[in-house]
Amino acid sequence: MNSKANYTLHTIFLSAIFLMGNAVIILPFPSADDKTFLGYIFAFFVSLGVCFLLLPILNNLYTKRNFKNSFQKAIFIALYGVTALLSAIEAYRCFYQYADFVSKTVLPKVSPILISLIFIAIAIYLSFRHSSVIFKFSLFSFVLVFIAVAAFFIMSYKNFRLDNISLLQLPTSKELIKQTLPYLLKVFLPFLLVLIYQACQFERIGKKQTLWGLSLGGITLCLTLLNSVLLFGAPFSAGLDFPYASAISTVTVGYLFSRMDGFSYFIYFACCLIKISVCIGIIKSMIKRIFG
Amino acid sequence: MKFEKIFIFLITLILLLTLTGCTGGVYRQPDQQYLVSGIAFKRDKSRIIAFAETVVVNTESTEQGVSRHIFSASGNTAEESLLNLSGKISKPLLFDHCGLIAVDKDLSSEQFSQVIDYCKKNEQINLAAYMISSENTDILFDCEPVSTLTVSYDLLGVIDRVEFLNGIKFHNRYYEVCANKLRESRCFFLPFVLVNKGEYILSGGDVYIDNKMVDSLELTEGALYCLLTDNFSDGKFEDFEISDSKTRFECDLREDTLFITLNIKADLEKGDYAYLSDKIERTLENLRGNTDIFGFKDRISRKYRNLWNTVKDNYNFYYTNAKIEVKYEF
Repeated sequence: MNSKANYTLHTIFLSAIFLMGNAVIILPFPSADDKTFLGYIFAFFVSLGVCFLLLPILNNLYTKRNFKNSFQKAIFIALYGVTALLSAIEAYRCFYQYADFVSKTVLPKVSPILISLIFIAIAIYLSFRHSSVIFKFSLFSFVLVFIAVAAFFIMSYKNFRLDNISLLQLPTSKELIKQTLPYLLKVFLPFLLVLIYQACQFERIGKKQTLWGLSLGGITLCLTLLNSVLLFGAPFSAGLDFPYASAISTVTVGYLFSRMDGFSYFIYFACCLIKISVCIGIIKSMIKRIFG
Repeated sequence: MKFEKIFIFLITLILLLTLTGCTGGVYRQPDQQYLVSGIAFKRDKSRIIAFAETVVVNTESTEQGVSRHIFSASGNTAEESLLNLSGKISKPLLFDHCGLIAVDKDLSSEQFSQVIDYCKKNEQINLAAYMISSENTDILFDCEPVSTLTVSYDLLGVIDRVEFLNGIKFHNRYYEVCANKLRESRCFFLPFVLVNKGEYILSGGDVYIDNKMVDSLELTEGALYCLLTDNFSDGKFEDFEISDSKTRFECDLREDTLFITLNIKADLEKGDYAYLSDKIERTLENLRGNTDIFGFKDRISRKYRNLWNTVKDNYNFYYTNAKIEVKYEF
């Protein structure tokens, strides 16, 4: 793919939805306390800095090149191998959390193996299609996801308690690091994979796509985190299996106290499917570079 | 291309067959659905009696409309009593529409815990279900619903109305009760519903600590309690009308004595300031006791970490001997 200008918006939305991935299902982490929101904000800004620092390095490493000698070639093959492995680990983690959610909440009476096979088949199929398919799917998926997240946030607003995130005392550096690290390592660091995907598709990583993708994804994910924490408080949210799904389930309508959590299932499906497809796409590209 | 079409066709077929419930008797839609609108639990010595108010919907004939039924059964635990209840009807009870969880104020701490644990385990029960306290849980659902299908849904409206008119913020949703149980004070405030001559009345609130009811407050006292604990929104009670209230908490430890100051800032739109401040002081003295029902320990642990580390192991001693002062900015 080399029509860079046409896919700027697609890339931004793909990056945003990749960031959300499986994080939207599990945040806040089990170790979250009253300072978790501050930890998230801190992790977001740190990752913004890290992404822009690493951008030229990643551009250099992952765009196609001619190797000067066999030693250099060996180093790059090792790098591509490690990248493929990290993508596989990230894809597995995302898939496991999604399958866990589906088997416990959506389809408890259906065999988890069947759910897994169907989902993996769809993800593999999507990743083996032309990459424009993933970009186009990301475009409309992110719009729908953002609308759903914003709508649920607004509908839950009247039950929010601001003192659930208010800081009555500044945290110590140890407390802040304890809350920041999980977000940095499990949510924002894997974002580098989507930058590598960009490099594989477009032979360069755009600054605009990186900034906007990370920001949009960060803000949307922040809304889901706030939705849970403002409603339940950090300690109770952290103890739930699927905090955001539980938060949405508290939105009720009608005279029969009907729940609306069904509308949230698309959010998880789209985010996880796209993330896994992108990871498989990266693995494919790395294998091609190793053996090509 | 042909292979892709066959593949897509096969995947779609598998999805349709497996995910739409076409697997046999267990998933066959029953002719009647029992939607639980509210559950109540009463203590019977070491056993628990569970009551369920249900809306029975006839799925095969919508002309027959809906009807309301109350069922009860007992068991050694909350879960067992609900299972026995379901067994009596020999139909699955659907808890997706359960909006009310009523607990008998005489439930033991362990029994209350069982109720909470069961509701968490049963993922059908909405985390936003309202919890109430009552001494008449056995006859609560025998009342006639006034404005909705069921007494349970009526009570949700009553609680919302009291919160709106009287300014009392109960924070009595199931998830709020669970969240409060995780705080240092483990204190929560449930609306108290009384049944008198076939009619239900929300007459005040019950304060619980560690799953046990410790104090019962009437509505006015409840409103003053909420003012003291910064849980009051705009509202009226007795001759007073208060808006924009905020209670700031300050604490200091001097010579082994806790000095607690509550700064109540509000717009007193109606009522006498001196009379209100006198009522607040008397409420504080009456409710103070030897147990911190105001949740001061939550404030101390969050705002004064070093002080909390000093007092936490012997908090009751410090609380009992604490000097509490209330300042007003009306």
